[in-house]
Amino acid sequence: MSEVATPIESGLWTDVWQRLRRRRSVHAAAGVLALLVFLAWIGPALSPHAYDALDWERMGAPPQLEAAHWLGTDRLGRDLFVRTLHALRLSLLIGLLAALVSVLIGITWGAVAGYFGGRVDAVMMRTVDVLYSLPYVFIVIVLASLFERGSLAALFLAIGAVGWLTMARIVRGQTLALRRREFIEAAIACGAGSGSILVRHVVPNVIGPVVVYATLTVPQMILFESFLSFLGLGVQEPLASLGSLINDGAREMESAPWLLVFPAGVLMLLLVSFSVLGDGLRDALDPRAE
Amino acid sequence: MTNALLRVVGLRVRFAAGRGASVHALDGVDLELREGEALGVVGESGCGKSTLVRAILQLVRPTSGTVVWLGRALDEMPARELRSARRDLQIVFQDPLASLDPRMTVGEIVAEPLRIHRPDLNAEARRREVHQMLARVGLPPDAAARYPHQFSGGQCQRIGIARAMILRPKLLVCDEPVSALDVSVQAQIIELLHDLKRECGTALLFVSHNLAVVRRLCERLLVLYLGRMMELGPTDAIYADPRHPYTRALLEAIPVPDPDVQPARLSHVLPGEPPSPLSPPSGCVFRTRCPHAVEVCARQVPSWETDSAGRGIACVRWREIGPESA
Repeated sequence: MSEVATPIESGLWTDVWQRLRRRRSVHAAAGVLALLVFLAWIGPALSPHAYDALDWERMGAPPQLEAAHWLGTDRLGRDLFVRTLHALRLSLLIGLLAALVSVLIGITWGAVAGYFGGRVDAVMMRTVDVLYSLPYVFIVIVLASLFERGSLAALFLAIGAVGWLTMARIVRGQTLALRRREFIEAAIACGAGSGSILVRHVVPNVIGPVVVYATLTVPQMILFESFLSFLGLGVQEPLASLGSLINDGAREMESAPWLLVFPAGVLMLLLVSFSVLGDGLRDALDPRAE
Repeated sequence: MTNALLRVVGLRVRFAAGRGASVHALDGVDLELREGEALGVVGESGCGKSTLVRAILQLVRPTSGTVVWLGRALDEMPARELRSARRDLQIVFQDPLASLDPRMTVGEIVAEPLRIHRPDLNAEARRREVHQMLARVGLPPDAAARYPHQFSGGQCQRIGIARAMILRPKLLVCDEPVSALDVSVQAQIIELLHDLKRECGTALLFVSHNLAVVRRLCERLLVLYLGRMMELGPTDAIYADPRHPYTRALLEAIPVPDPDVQPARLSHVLPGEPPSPLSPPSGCVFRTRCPHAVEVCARQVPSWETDSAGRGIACVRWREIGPESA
């Protein structure tokens, strides 16, 4: 009963939390994700090796217990276990940051454009179109020339610049459809202001597609990062991200398959648990899905 | 009348229909509503009933004419004042489920007007009000924590009524509130509205195509056809002596559960459907379906005639037709 007449945060979100906790798939995904985060945070300290230290004795060695190269080493003798977890740290950061930017800017931009319509909508969505039509590479080159090589700030900026565009379009489309619904009219007739209608009625009702798309954004941006790193913006050797590790590993998959298998496996685990979590969240957000 | 709650003057709503064409959804509606009074608005589908409701509530911008609420024109009010004026001007919609936010609990939905217009209440006081209101409209106490899709159509309409009445507004506008419900449920909702109106002294603007429902609730009746006013007057007087041929046709179309009477009555049923509002007939808009139409009806737009008993009519021939000639 406590949710009656309390602000929306506790009304909708306590219910969402309750429903989320009832799902076993969500428990599993959250468990895997928590494990990955924990490993990324603490893992590199477990190994005696540093991520950029070369082991001259064992170059391109397969996984082994002696010398504590649990996942083997790369062509230069660097420990893959430490490098993978180090990369995971960076990829997680990039993925979450991109999802955050995409959700915050994308929802606000799209909901405002869709709800007010008319000229506001035209100006806001043409801005999105223009940003969309600029080739990534062009943005990347401009940014690369402004920042020093390997700067993470430039990387985040590049990802932030493109991450929210699709989200804004999705949210705008949903909002356009919502605006015609009777409960929005009912809220206007009640005397609710535009801001309160957006926050209390529009956003909670577009959240389903938003969550799904946000979980897709995380893997997209992790892969986008590896493309940027390849172009020289973002992560540079000896630092690694999952994308760059997989890229390197793919080149040697015949002679040293572990270089591809382990980073790719970690990425896969990460992506699968994100999408299971997103799926569960979407269902939990919809009171009708019970 | 100076103490009118709501005064609608020359209200016109035109929608653009592409290629320069436009639809007069509402063409010159004048009416007045006193405090505590109930006015029924009837007519066929597409005659502008819902547009009238939306124009009065400023959910649709009128093309011309004004809506005067407590002496002030709603259409000229700044957005902020309009929002606070809405406190006394609530609405119940036709589709009960669609008018409730699916992501909100019933408690939040019913509390929303309080949250907007009674910032002085704290969460606990709001909760008490909501519970009282839910009980008043006949919903179980645990309803507040549940979601709209868990309720039947009739219960959803009770939720809609609770939301509209929680501030005890001066005017409740109902846009076909029972047309989506089962007949047995319709009667319960009508009784609920009837009781609430009496308790709170709320005026009612009740739109319906069901004449029996209007008769139960409303003291006065307005008949619309193609966005124009056909007849207006006290409900009982209109039922006893319908003057406009269209009003007569509507009253005759009410089914009577008697097989001997029914066939005879069916012969009077209006032929066809209302003409397209894109190209309304010249003169009297009803003439194409009127059994009494003569040549003058095509030339002359009937003027609005009123009598001392407060009845108004827009028909050139109503005196000639006589009470029993239909």
